Amino acid sequence: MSARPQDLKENIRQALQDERLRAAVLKATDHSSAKRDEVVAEMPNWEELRETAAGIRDEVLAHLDQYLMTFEEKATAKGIQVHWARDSKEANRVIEEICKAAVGTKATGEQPIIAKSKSMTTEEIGLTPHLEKQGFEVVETDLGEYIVQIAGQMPSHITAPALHLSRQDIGKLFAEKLGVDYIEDPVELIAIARKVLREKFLRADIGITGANFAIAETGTPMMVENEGNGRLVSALPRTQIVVLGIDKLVPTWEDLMVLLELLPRSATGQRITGSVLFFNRPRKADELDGPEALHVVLIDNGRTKALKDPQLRSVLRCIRCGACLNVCPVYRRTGGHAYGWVYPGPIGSVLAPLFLNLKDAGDHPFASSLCGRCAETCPVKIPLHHHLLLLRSRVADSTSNLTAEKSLMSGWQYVMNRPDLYRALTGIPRFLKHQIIRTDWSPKLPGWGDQHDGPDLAPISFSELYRSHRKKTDGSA
Amino acid sequence: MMETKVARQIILDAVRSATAHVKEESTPINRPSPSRSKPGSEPTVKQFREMLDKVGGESYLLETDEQLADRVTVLITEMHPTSMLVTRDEMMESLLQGLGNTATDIVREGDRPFIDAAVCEVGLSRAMAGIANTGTVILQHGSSSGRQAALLPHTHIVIIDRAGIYPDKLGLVRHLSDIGIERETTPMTWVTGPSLTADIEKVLVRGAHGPRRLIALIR
Repeated sequence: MSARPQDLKENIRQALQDERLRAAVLKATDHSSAKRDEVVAEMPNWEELRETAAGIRDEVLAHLDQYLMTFEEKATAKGIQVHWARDSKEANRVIEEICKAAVGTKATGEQPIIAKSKSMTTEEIGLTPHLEKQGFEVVETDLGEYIVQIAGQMPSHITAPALHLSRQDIGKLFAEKLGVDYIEDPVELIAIARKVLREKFLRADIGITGANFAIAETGTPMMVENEGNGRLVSALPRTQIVVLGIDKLVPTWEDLMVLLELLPRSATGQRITGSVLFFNRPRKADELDGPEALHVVLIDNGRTKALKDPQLRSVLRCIRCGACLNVCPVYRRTGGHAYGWVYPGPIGSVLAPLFLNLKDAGDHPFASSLCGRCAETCPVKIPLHHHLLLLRSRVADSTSNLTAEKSLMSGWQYVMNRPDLYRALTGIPRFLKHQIIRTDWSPKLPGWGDQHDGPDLAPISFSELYRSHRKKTDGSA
Repeated sequence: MMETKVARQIILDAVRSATAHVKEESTPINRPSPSRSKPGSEPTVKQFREMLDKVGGESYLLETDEQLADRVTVLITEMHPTSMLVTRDEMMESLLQGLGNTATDIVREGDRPFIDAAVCEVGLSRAMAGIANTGTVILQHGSSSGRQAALLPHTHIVIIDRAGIYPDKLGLVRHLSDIGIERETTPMTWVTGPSLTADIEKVLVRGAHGPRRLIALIR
């Protein structure tokens, strides 16, 4: 399968042929959405919380410049070094420079080690391949990310990167890449990963994390996790770099608590994650662990473009929970790789045309049944289904060659305005089928007909049936 | 860095021009209120223990310092670790003195480099606060308490102050300064149960990179 958004249609075709993939993705998303539903059912005020959270996120977006400046001011006062990057190229360069400065005194010949905890933003900018080219060993420490890293794949879900792989796949992968005996028991596989990665945590020069949110009032980047790898990469290495999009700001700790009710429940069906980390400042001289140098890199990379779009701006409320993926009939049957980009599913199908461009990601808004489950499930009430529809019209407007479609539409309009003509024309296929062909035939419609059966043609039309029924009842009356 | 100053200005300008015409929301945001239950009360502590149990944690309720020391001794005797990693709290020293005879080596945070400290099988640390409706323990990091003792060993024993167990997150956050935690400057880790992952076929496994066992001693 290709990793390009332009290849969406072909990727989907391939994904649908892969029964194992489909079974794995369906099973995992069923499990995730069931768990989510369970913990949401415990919250009688769930809808109010969604409303509050949407309001908080909109408030931040409406005054984003102020919140960004407050965050920077507060963070800097505590010794956190704040950097800004307009796009992925700039972000990678900034982070590369920080890393090079951090390991400056390391003995030559020893490859510096960067231990990373899970961050979709770093995937978005392609950070790992960039740093590897600069000679760093970059180790993904989140188990799912570690698995796809050694498999040489992209993550296929926002919160469950290896959801498309079975335990047998992972067992084979570990046997092949780590030289261990083949096992498929998850508990034993995790024990192997723990042992291998422990060594990396202890030797890492630099820790790189994402941030789920950044609290403006106190200049505090923070993250949630379950495995403990986030704790390790922010405790042991001497330098920590936190990478986040500028849309991650929240005003206050109290507001963050609202979002923390929604995020773990929506993402993993938990009331709270195993750890919640607040990176308030670098370590002081008399402290025993934590980074000596704490850096925050604020990234735009298309977010101001979305902010400028009054109709689609609400997509920036996204808290990256992945719940929309778990309920999407399209994602559930194809998995994330088909989308060819870091963010798949409904949210990805709105972000791709926005952050990338309408041309490369023009098919994404059409990868939807418009069922609306994404919008229903979204903890911050992003009207994803409306956004997808709007993007479809933008794609159509930007398409220059619509002659065939336009002619068809004019023709249809002409016929629909003339009931006798309509009746005559639609009578033809019915006549053909029931009087002449007399088999199971139905007209094959172009394009759409590749995936769908044609209409089932009744012997007479409803209006004819109605008229003859009326005659009977009037007659016998 | 010159480049970052330029990027900063461009980004802020882009944000400002994008939001210049944003309509102010007329509907005020309806923010929730914290629970009125008292911290450390019996129902609050009971809920804390239940919720911790649900996520695979263990807890004991101790009424006196002697009971606390006894419980720690019993746990160490059961687990018989070769070494135990402890924080440098004042309270920790008096607790350690009160422990019965065990063959366990006591290693204090900072005594050894991380790679050697990581050999300790059990870690002992202290928490001044918790959240009852999730079973969460609030760890704060400073000069007397690092992150290692709670993180490197496979078993984490945490002594938690009963009076700091708040009913919900909002209540805790409102009263952080009462417990001596400055929201602006105190690095914190909120830990709920043992570490876990479900990254392989969504099968929940307790014990990933962090501890696989968490024991809360409520005092």
